[in-house]
Amino acid sequence: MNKTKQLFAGLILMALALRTAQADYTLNLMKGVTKVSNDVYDLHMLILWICVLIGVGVFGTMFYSIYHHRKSKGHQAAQFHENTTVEIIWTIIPTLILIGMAIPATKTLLELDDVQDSEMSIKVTGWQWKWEYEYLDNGVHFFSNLDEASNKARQLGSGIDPRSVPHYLQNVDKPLVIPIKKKIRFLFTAADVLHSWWVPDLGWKKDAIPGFINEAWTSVDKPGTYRGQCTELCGKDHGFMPIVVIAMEQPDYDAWVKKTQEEAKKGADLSDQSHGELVAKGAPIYAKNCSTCHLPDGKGVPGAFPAISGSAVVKGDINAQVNLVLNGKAGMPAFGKMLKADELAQVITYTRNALGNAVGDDIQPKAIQELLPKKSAEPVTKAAPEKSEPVADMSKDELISLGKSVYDSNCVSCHQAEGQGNPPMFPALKGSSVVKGDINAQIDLMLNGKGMMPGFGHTLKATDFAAVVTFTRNGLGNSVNDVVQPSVIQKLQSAMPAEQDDDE
Amino acid sequence: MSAVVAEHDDHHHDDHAHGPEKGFLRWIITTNHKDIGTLYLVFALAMFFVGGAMAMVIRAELFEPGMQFVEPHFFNSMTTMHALVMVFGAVMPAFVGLANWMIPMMIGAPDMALPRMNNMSFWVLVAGVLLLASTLFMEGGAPASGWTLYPPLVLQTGKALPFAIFSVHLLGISSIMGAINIIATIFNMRAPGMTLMKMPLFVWTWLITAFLLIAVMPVFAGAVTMLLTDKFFGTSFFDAAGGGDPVLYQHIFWFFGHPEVYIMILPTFGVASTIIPVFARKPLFGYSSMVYATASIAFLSFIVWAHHMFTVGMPIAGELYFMYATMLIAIPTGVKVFNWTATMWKGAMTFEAPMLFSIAFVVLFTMGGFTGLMMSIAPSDFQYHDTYFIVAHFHYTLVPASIFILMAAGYYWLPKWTGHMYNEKIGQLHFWLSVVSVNILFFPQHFLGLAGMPRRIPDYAVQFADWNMISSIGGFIFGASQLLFLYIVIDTIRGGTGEKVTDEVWEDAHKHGLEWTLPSPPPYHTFTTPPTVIPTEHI
Amino acid sequence: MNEALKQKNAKLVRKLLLVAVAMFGFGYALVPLYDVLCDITGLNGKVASSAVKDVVYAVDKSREITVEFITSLNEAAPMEFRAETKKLKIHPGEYYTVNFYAENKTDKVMKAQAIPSISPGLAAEYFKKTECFCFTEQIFKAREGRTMPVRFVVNPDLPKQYKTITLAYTFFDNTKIVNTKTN
Repeated sequence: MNKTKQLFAGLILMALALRTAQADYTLNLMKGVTKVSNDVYDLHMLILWICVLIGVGVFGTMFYSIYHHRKSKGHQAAQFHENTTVEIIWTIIPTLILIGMAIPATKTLLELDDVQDSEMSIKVTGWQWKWEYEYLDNGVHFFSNLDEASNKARQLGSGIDPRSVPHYLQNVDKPLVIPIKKKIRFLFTAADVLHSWWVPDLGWKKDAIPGFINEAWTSVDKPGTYRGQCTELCGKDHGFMPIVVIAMEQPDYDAWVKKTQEEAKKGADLSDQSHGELVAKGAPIYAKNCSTCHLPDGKGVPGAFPAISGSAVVKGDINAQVNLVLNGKAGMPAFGKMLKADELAQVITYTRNALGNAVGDDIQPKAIQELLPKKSAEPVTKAAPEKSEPVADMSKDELISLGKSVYDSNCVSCHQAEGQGNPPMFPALKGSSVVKGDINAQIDLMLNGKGMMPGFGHTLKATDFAAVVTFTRNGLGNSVNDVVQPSVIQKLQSAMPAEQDDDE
Repeated sequence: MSAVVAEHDDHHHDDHAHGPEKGFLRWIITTNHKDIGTLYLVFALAMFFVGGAMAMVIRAELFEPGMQFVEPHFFNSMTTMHALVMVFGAVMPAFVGLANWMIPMMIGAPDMALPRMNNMSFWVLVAGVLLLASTLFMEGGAPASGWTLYPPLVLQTGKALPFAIFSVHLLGISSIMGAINIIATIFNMRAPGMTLMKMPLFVWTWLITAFLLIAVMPVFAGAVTMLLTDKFFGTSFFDAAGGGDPVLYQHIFWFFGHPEVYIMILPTFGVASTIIPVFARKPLFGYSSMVYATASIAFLSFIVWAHHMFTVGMPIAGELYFMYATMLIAIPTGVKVFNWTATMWKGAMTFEAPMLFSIAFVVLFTMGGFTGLMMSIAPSDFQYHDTYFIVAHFHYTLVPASIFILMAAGYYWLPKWTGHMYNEKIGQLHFWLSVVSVNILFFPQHFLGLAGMPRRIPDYAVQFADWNMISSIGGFIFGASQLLFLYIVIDTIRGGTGEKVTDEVWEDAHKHGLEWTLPSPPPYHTFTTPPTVIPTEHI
Repeated sequence: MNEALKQKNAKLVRKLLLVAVAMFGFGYALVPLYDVLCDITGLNGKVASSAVKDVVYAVDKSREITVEFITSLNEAAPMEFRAETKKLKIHPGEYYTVNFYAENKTDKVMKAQAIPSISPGLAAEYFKKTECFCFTEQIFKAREGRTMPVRFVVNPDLPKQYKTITLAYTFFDNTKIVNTKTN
């Protein structure tokens, strides 16, 4: 009996020792590759050792007692049942230890919290079940999915040995690339449910919450590939949305950005393809983008994700299907934003002619391209109106009708739809002395603002500005019967002092 | 309950001295605290095996990397249902069962204060758990969003959502009725001379737990009701689109959830404080500091909730506050562990099954406490949060703590309840298998979490394979070992070793509690006249 | 059980039930309490959901703050939504107007609500909007696109450590929610 108890004590102590003695990758927290992650590691080790020491003390006393103070050894029970001094001591000592822990913990926490003075920003959006990355400074934008090899192997009964897949479940098709030794700020949000972004080597995780943004920062010390996963339960494929971060030297990173931007510009291959080619190329696109929900065989998940096989949508009008795929609906994401025109044509044709369907028709990339939103050319729009844009003179009627829509989106909330205003805060425009008076005085007021009236000189384009001025003087119950041309406004705008020295 | 009255008239005219009803009906209509205690305990044991079966599904799927047995959605349902069944179906009812059996006998009361409400609260519990279990067979499956039921994910549940929410309401109503009954019994039914500070610690911890239940179960009911109206009645408490906030749910949930975890651990402390002195043959060390420590833990449990949410993006002041407040819990918890150690110190210990399970509880709960302290450090928690490290932590505070203490209580009081001695040899075997396998099961999960394995995933990267396999093996052994306990319980009820147990069962136990002054098994009605001798050992 | 005890029990039960009911109410009271707390602490970067009055601040020309504007669509709402200005350097105390563009990509009337969020959260209370499309639900005709202004000022009392403020908008498509309500 004694032997078993010793064995038990030994096991516990061994287990405790094992926990710290082997600072191996698979046993302990990673030190990581940032200053913060190292601080967190040190903090972790400090608290761990304090716990181990307290544990050795308490369990040591207990096991000494268990061994020596037993009835079988003839030990007589003492009858003490309190000792105020001892009780005070073992309340105060832990308190002091806790204060000792709180100091370094507070320091590290403050450090983690300080996102200011970052050098670049990346917006991270969590989706069921992928990550979207947007580089706010250079417009690079992409989705990051579980890589195809892992995705195949992880299907129930796939028969593929996960050990044969490189970085099984921790690999993605497009990793997040960042430069080293730069303070990078991450902005987190989610598009559907909660997610949480965690790369252990960076030393923290942060929740992505729909409708809200969260911030965190990192500055990676050495180049490398760092892997992590979503850590907030987000539905059935929560375990299958990994994160891969590749940290590079600045020049390598710059080259990557350039290459990525060029690829994004290249756009889709719009040449016509044969029916067979479209179907064949559609299969892998389906596997990657659709099979998660609609399942690889197109059977769907009843109650949650409709089947593709035999679906009324797929068998019905092709244009209705294209519209649905492009713009999404309820739980179905809008793929118009994620896939290129040729990929969309291929996958739509595939669904109509495979997975148990045989509609027999197809759609060409060109037809899709026309339905896609036009890409806004520059990723960063200038706040100030373009100074060099050529402006053409317009007729009074043209100006008034354009002016009406400009008025509707810029002035209505204060001056109201009919120009009746909302006195005393917002003066009426109908019959206003300003509007009926000198046109230059009105333009001046609108360019620079006054009191609560914002200056529109920097926010409206010359054409819009001229149009809305003209509209107020000839609509809303006024009939001053004069016009101002965009070119006049443009001159006045370029003479205005810059509102912001925006380097963008 | 008019049936009860009608039945009385058939064979007795004395309202109080009658025995149990004959046959099956006894168990449906009973208002006897011992019968209801038995019902609770049997039901909890059954649910322990149901929840355990779900855990076996989880560990089987995680035995190897790759998906072998279940779809990911079903896996998530399993983790969710495992937690809900274990918390609301097994651990909480088991402690209510112990309270029913023991509190009247410990304070010298003839029964619970509100016997009919007692019967109702049990059957409402059964209805709630059955309703919850029925969601497994509904279109879209059982809830799969984790036991925390976080929106917006929980709103994607299929047909089961309103049923799951209604079952939570039933479970809440049952718990609140049980808690009211316990408070009324303790306040109004104590025997003369049984002052509050003379009550056994089990009674004290249950009194505090009952107050926690009344304070937080309604809050949880409110939170799930908000989920229900968000989904079906167009409110937007948690929907950002309507000006709500999903994080608000987490605040409300954990305002309930943190006290909830103490609801499962405080009675555990009480049982440990009852058993350890008996087998150390010494009075409990620091009785009054134990009472104050329990009360402070209960108080602190209300002001630390957001430590479950360090990563949601709280302002720095909030993070610091919740970190400091959480660290404070270590102080009263430490006092308790030190007191148990001091109770053993210079005792004359013997190591029967109840004592073994209690010692294992003190050691392994303390390890869970250590990892809890580590997680209170907010910056470190940014790494630990939602990984297997926390899975290891809370299982250490629930399985080798609450569950072990329930086992200890079973061994400790079974001879009193049945009048038969359990088989000590099998009990010892059960203990050693359990204590070894529980560590094989949960200790490697610390490594997995630190190495980067998130919780609630059905499949994992291959570098986590070894420890997962070890953990699963531990899980299977632990699961199988519990069948021994089932065997022992049945065997003991049917006669056990055949040894006739004395009234006090354990040496000098009469000094430690009124229940040991009663015959084993106690008659159907006990203390119909209040006892005059109050044990004073623990004071 | 004697009558006195029964009455004592009943009295206690009533009190405890009252506590339980009160705690149920407290769960609901947490909702407005949370909003108050958010307003005070800027928890979650929640910002006032209605226009603030125009106040003239002393413009602090010596200080420059970068304001970033980012946009998201919840559940892939069938819209196009972008900030026409992505980044602006501003002086605290001065009023600025920036434009956002949103377009309904469907052939049906769409109701959409934009939800603002500011990071760092503690800066939210210093970020004042006098005009914003997020104050009310926006209705878009089929295929309609429009430019919507946001007029804001950063209170010069903003603590010195903040150099970058991010204003994020997420558009939620409320059309289907509205439909369920009327059904």
